[in-house]
Amino acid sequence: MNTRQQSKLIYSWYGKPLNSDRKLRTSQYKGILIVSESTKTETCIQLGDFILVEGANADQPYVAQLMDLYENGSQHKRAVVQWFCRLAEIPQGKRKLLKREISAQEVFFDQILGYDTDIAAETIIKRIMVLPLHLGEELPVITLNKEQTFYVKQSWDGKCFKVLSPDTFSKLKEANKKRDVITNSSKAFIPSDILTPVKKETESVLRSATKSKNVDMEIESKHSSSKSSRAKERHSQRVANDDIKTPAARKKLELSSPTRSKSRLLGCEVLDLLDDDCDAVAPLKPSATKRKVQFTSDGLGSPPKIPCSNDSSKSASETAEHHQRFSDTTRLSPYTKIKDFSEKDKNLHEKGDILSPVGCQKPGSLSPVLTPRSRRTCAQKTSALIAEQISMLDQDDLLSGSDSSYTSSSEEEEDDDDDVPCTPEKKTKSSRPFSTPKSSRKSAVHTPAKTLKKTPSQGTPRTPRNATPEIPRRIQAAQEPASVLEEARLRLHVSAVPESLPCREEEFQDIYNFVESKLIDGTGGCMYISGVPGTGKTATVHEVIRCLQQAAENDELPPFQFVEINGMKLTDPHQAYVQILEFLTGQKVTASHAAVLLAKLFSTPGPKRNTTVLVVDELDLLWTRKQNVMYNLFDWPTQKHSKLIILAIANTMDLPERIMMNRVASRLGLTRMSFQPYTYKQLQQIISSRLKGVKAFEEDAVQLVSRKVAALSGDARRCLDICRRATEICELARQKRAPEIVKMAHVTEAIDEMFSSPYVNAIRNASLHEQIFLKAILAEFRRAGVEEATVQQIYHHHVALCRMEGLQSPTVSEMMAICSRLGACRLLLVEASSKYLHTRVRLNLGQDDVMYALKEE
Amino acid sequence: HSHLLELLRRTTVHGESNSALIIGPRGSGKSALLNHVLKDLREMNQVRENLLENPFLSGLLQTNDKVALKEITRQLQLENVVGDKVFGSFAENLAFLLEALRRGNRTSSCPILFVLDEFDLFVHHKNQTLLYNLFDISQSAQTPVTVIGLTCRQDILELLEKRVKSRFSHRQIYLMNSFDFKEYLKIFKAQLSLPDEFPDEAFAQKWNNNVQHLSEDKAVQDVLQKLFQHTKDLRSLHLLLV
Repeated sequence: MNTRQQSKLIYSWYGKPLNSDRKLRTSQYKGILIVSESTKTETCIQLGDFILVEGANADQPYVAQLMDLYENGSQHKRAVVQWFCRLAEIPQGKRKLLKREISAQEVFFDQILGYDTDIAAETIIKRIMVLPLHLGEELPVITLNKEQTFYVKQSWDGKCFKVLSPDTFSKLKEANKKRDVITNSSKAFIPSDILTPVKKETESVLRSATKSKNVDMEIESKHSSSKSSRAKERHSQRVANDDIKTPAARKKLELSSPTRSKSRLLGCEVLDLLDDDCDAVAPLKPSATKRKVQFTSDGLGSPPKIPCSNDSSKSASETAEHHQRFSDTTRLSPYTKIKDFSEKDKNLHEKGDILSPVGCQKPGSLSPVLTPRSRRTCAQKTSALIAEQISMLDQDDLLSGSDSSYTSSSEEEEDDDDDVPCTPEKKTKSSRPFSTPKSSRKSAVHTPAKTLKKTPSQGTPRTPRNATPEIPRRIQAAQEPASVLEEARLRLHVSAVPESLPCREEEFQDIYNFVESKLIDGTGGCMYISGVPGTGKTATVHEVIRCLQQAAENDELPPFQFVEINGMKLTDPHQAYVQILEFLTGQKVTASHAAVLLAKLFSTPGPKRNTTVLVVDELDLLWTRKQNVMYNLFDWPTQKHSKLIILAIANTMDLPERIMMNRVASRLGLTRMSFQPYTYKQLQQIISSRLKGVKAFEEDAVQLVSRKVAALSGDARRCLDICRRATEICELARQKRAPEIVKMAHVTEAIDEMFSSPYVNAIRNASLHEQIFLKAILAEFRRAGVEEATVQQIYHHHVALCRMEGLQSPTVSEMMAICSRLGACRLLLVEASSKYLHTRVRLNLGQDDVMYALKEE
Repeated sequence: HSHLLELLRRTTVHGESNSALIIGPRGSGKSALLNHVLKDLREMNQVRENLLENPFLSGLLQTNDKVALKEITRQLQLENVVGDKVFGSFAENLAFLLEALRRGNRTSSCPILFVLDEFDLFVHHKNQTLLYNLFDISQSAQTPVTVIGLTCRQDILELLEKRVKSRFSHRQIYLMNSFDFKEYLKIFKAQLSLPDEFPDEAFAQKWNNNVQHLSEDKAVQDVLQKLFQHTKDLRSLHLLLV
């Protein structure tokens, strides 16, 4: 499966240009030939075919129908396509409009006009099938080519789902039919000058021989077991001959109750086939024989035949293995009445159990349909194969998907290993494109009930890998605010998001216009937003995004993806890549790999990719020595196809000049905006807008707070905090007075509490000797004229001061203790204390402050 | 005391997020105050039902953000969600915890009280990532969180980075040993006296009388005076008595 990505593909035109336009220098073609270098296989894709197109996410290629192929003037191969969209591509909010379960294989006819339908032909991966269905129709269970068959029931135009119009429906049908014809006669189409290995030939034989037969799989499995290509060819022809006989038998089986002779014939036939298949005769285990007998009896409702067991003893071990698995699956269904399980059987049974829940994990893909009790062996066989395949595919999905499961049990892995040699993925794949829709439909009818019934209750419980942690819920509900003050406090909390952001209308409009214009143009760009903390940068940007998202939902703007990263919340600048990629695609990879993927994502033209709006908060923390993170971030928007809009937020206005290299700064561009600190009037407005309707503050009090804060920092957060504290103080003092209103006094107290210098208070409450020590420091500073002194020098002064005060002078060690205590409070800055008495000491605050604090006493 | 009690009560009862610093010199009873408040809180009915979780981090033990985060995860008992999954990286761990805290909202989640002992040491962590995130949560409508820092440094606010500082609510509770010698003597007496509920009443009476005499003794007072002049730290008094 992965070989497709690894091997190099060569694209060349198929056939001669149909018509060319001289003026535009374009020429149209009717098909394109894709040759894979490594596997030497080639695929021819015609107009009207359904294709997979490389998308943003490697696991989920886009589905499209090829409408036109041309080569433009600059020799680029281009293709015009009609898109289909998967469920994953539809915005989460719109999915509920569907009102029904959607399988992973269902796609929608895309009628959104915004997408670019003109793509590079090189992005085409391969051909697939898209089958139109009526809305009421059950989704047929995908049989052979689960990965490559899609169903379309409805169309999607960005707003609502509609039933396919009869016109499009018939068109799609027609496209499918046309495909059939092409496939059947494709041998004639293949140009002779291209390498056609033996394989190719056999395949074509196979194709022509087994038209619309659901034995495809059978043949495939046989192919895998047979060794020489000669045998392969001979064999497939034989099968074809057999098949001519079988349909009649089948018909009869379906119409009437199975007659003994018919079923016998059929059973023999099948066994014959199997027999034929093996060249080497291998000894068969007895258990296998037994199983085989049961298989025939169960399937046909006829007693076991002796010739059967005789025949089977000759069959290869490989086929035996095949049958083992098959019979296991059969046993799982309630219809089979098998009583005796051998020991080994049980093991296998368990194995099958594990296998089947995985197989049925695809939700909604299987619909219950009643199946006839009697069933043909072929159908059963295919169903068994299908079950295997489904499980294989599922496991593949699990392994290669975004959450590659570590938890898959070893048993599963074993299973996987067992399956692979039997029906190699590559083999089945090569057959896929050639199986006609008719056949898949036919065999599909037989399977659903079967697969459903296999769902046992005892599935292996998987430990959720992406378990999202949650803080336990509180038992009691949070109390609602009871008084006016509590209400006010709640509103004043920074987290309470107001409906609109007052005083930032202008900035809001600027950012909005910037992003909007870029969105409409479908281009990329950068904007740098700066401002001191607490001026509403992040809040404004979020508000803009919210408005834009609303507009996009109302279809005034093209839809976009919003990604936010915060430099502070990253442990390492390179983690930014990981987070962005996780937001965009849900993949979890290492930082360096993520960078590569993102670079690829933004530098290649993605036809259906939406514009991405990336908000980078605390940009300055993404700084690295080589600045490659910032460089990449700002380089992507300049790429032609990136469709990336970056809003970078940081504290400092001159960040680009200060820390960025020239090449980074130049890419950032000149679109800058700076948020000025709030003025006192604005702060006043913010508070009053938050307190609208609640009478809790005096006008003057609000003004005092806003003036004070505006003078200091202009930080709205600080302003709100002071107000909140004031309400608390008011509440404490309220007991005496009745009216609940915050007065000037309360506000002043709150401000004092927040802005008062702690030092003076600390000095006043220090012990006597600590105060004397500080005095000694001052005296020493005055004497020496330097703002630094050793403890020894201070000690002399200290002793002198003590004598003056009539106190007993402290010992040296006591002095050191005092010194270190003051140092711990950071009243003093003390050198590392290894030097003992020669430790240098400095004051951490102005001499005047110390004087003032000491004088008061 | 009442301030802190009220603050924490509001966090638990109303689900309001807060942050505060308790600043005071060594031996001024910061931790004692906090423990006392927590004990009181647990006795209050409403609070007990709301099960207050409190991760306790010490700057001396959690020397970097990585260790601190692991410790928080452990103390919040989020491991049960994680199962046996081993955290690959620091980044994953941080994202995990943030995700956990972001999920909650004001009304439904259990309030969490973070206690950061030796707060000044957390300041020196790289980029102050932990502090930023804790304060940011306390400033936004996520899980109610109260962050209490204990430190003895008076200049702690200057150490905070400006954006971290902006997110801190600037509630500071200063603890000072603002008592004079008379009160000091009272504390001395209270420390030595036997409590009323002592089983042998006669002995307690006699003991307490002796303590009273001791506190009036000149020599004892001199010693205490000297110690008081040197330091107001109550721990040194305890050391002396022992």
